Amino acid sequence: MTPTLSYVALPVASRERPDVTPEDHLNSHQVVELKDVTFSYPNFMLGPLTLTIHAGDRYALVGRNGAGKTTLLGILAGQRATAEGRIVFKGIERCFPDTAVKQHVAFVTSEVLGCPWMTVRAHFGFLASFYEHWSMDNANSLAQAMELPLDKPLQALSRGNALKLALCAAWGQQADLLLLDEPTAGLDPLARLELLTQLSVYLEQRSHVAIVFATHVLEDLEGLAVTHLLALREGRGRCEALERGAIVEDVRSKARRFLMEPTP
Amino acid sequence: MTRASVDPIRRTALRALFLVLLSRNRRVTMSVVTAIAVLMALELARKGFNVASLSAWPLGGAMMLPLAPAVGLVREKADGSLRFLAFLPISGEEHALARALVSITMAAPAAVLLGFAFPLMVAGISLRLSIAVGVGGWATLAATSLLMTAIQLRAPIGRGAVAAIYWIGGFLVLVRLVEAVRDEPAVLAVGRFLATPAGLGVASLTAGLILAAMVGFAVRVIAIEGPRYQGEIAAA
Repeated sequence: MTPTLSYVALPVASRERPDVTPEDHLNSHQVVELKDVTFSYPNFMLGPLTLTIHAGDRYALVGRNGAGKTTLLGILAGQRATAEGRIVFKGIERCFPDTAVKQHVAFVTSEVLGCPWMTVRAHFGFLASFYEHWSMDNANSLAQAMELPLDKPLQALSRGNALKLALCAAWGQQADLLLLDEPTAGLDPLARLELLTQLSVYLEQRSHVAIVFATHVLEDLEGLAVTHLLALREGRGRCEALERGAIVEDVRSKARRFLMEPTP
Repeated sequence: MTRASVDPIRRTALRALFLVLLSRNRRVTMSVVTAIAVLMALELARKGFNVASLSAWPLGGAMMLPLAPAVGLVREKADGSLRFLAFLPISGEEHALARALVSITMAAPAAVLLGFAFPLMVAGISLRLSIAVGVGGWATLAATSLLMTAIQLRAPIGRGAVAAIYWIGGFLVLVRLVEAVRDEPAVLAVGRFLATPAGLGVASLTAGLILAAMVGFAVRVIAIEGPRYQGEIAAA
């Protein structure tokens, strides 16, 4: 690549990396790229998995229990150290677990992720000290718009409010990638509807944010404008790009085809 | 307000909350120990002070405190705060440092009491030796606390607690064993050797190496496990 690209401003984490090349900058619209990544537990192996998530991509992650969905989310969240393969995050190859990756990835769930005794306001203040690009204005304004009570302790939040909290934190963090691990599991129909509505409104206004939405309930994907289907089966993955605005039935048939076909 | 506009003092204060968070779950244990200490003080005031009661009870209570960081981890696992901490962009070293500071803090009261109580329990002890006992006790308790924290972090809920019980049981058996054989000629000879400058040097070096190994192992485990904890059930 041409050296003229070297003036491009780097993210904070990459300024200290002498190994960053101009090619890396060109790939900056790629949020994360997995190349032949494997991860293994005793009696289970995920991968090898190759996958590229760009800004604005909406991935539906499906698979049976034990297929490797949570493990994959753990890898994408910068928590899991992979056995083999290469992970490139925002143009820079990483060794996981990685603190810089965690700066850009938010885990969104309807279970409260935080210290139960903290109020929402204190929780935001706590997070502000850890995230390089934290914006209190973003977090507070979204909380106000979503009517999330700032002075309520986290342990008193309903599951719907817990999801709002996670979205506000992700917006405060200015995350590029949201990971959702079965966020509607265990919710009653009204709470589920509210949660999905909040999520789709959030994503409509932040089209650059990429998401990976793991779910067993394909109806959850309605309104999220899913762009890719990633199906996992016993640790093996298959990724298919979908037409913009693919209907749930389309996603379902593709998922079923992969998950039900005989093992080669 | 972006991160850049948060002044360094405020940022440091907020980061310190990370430590408070780690110790907050110990409040039940700390409350119990404080209540015991108050009750003991009242009891001592009523019956009058004597060397044995003055030193033994508060010291025993304070020595329970370093167990709190390890016991508190069960609660952190249960209420989800440990999982939350793993999502934060904190390095393994920061996790280990935070845990170490909590362990050192929790061991401090027992160390101070040990330093004060030792001259009361053993007549004719020098001030220097008393300070050495306090410092040595502090290091031992802090290292043990950190090691138990690491074991608890790696072990599934419940198993770590069982391991801690084995440790305490093993320690008590060892004390009984030493009491049983302390008048044996061979043990007396070892005791005489340890009382010499060379013996003291060997004993200090051995203890130092053991403590360093304990801390090294604990720090390594916490640094690895802290940033990747995802819950007790390793759901695939």
